[in-house]
Amino acid sequence: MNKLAKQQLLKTENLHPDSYFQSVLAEANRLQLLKDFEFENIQMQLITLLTQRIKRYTHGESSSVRTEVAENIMQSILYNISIYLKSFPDADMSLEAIKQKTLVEMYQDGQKLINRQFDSAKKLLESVQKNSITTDNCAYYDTVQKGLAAFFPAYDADFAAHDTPGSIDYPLCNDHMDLVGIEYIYSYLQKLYLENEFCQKFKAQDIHYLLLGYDENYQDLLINIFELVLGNAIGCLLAEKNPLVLNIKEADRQYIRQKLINLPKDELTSILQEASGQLVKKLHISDESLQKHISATIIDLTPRVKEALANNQLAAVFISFKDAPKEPFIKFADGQKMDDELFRTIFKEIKRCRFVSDKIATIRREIHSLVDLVDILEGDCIFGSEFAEVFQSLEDMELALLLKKIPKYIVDANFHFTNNEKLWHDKLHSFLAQIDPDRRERIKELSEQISME
Amino acid sequence: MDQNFMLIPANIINKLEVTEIINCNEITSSYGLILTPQEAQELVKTHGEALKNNGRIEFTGGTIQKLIRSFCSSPFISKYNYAETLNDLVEVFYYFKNETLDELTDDELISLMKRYFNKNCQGSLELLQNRELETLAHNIRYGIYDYINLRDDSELCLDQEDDEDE
Repeated sequence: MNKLAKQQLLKTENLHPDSYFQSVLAEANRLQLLKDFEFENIQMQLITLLTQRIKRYTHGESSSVRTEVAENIMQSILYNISIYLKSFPDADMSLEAIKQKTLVEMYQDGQKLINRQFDSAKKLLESVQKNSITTDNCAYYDTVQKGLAAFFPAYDADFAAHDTPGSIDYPLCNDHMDLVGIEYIYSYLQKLYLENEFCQKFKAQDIHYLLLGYDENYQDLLINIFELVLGNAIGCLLAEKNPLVLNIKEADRQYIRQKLINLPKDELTSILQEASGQLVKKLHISDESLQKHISATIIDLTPRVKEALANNQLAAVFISFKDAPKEPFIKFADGQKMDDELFRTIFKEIKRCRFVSDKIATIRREIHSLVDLVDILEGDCIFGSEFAEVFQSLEDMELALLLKKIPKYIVDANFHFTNNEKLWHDKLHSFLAQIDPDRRERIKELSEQISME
Repeated sequence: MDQNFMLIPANIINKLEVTEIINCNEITSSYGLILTPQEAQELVKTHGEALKNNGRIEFTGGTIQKLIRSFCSSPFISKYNYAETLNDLVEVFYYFKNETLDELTDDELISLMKRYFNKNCQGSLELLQNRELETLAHNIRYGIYDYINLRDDSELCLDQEDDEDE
């Protein structure tokens, strides 16, 4: 039997989750569901409420406030009312509430809901911390253990309910970020909890190898772990393997490629959705929210798979494990840094040298620590082509130590380094590019094996 | 946002404020200080501009009346400089509400302004603004606990300046 659906006057797609009350009013105004006098009445009530809140904010001791303070308090009021209105199953009912209740009543009800959600979020954070996965990813660890907890003492439900303090770096999968304040934190925690639940089904060691396969330096990256794990689990199913294995080898990718390469988009989508259904069954996932989250993630995964198939880059979506990099076995303890006075004397001596050979001789004779050598390289006493000659005079181990000093992955060198630092980094890189490839590899290998104390 | 703050027509608010200011004449007339309706109107205009220039919004009002009531007994205000001084005081008040980071209540700031105006500054608005209140604001911004006590030599400086003038 067909079900009859109630005709909605206010269309949900025209309402904004981050400014719900305003968008309901705007939409009602557009559709002439609110009469002019009702609209004016709401505006007058809003001003009165704002005045009351500002009085409370200043404890009645200041008749004026800075404009941004007033705006902030106004945003907070609107946020409170929006939270209350969102508690209705549909927008028409919230419009009815606007007509029947005073703004103060709606504001107070909103406050109660915010306080309730605040308490629930606190409890949810405890659960998230309990079911968090063991990983070296800094963003994940910092967000779960510190950043989210910082929200609670900093949240000002009275005058800045729409603010989201705290430090949330870890990106969620399908995080649309159209919410703010306590609503955002609550929804973030809910999703993070689900993602943790899913990842908990796999071995932490396997997740570590998978992330290493994604990037050797995954610890420092802002990546979503759930998305990568889910992608590989689906990949395993497509390759007719147990999803808990998680690893996808080259042969598996070949198989998946053969299977999917010529499929139209719709069929590919249905195959991936089917695989996600199988995954839910195999992993005994009964939580409907998690099932929905997986489904939504698969929708995002489909175009990526399609693109990867077209470009023969399936390894970027279905990742092979990588073993942990070898533990460094050369421990380097730097020599004693010379005192400033002596350093200045040697620095002046080097600067005075007319020939680079004299500079090199002085460096070899006087400099006995890596930190002093780096200071000399950065000190404006070696110029242009002299760098190459200085590097030429150094042994492989010394070059490897200098190379170790240069961070491998820097997004913006201008931000992290001074011009002098960048100069010797560039000169060393170009020197290495010119030397014998075998020697270069040897130096790089040595550099990998060094651990600085 | 702006739309929300501009619901009550500005001319109605202005009329109300002018009437309230004129009502203050009952108190100030005993000091020989009277504001004409034009001067009251001018004061309301200054008030609006001071709020706007300093990025502030006022909902409850009453600041001008507080300033009038507080300063009307000053020995340095006469009928010749009354209106002009009030205009300046309104501007100074809002400027220093911001500069003191809203740490002082309206009453506290007005009372300090009056104290410095009558004592340290001997009726000089320039000294009030550029020396005393600047120091007060500096003390507050730098978290000095006893921020009300400005430098001890403030009166000395004034005396020295007077000597030099002579």
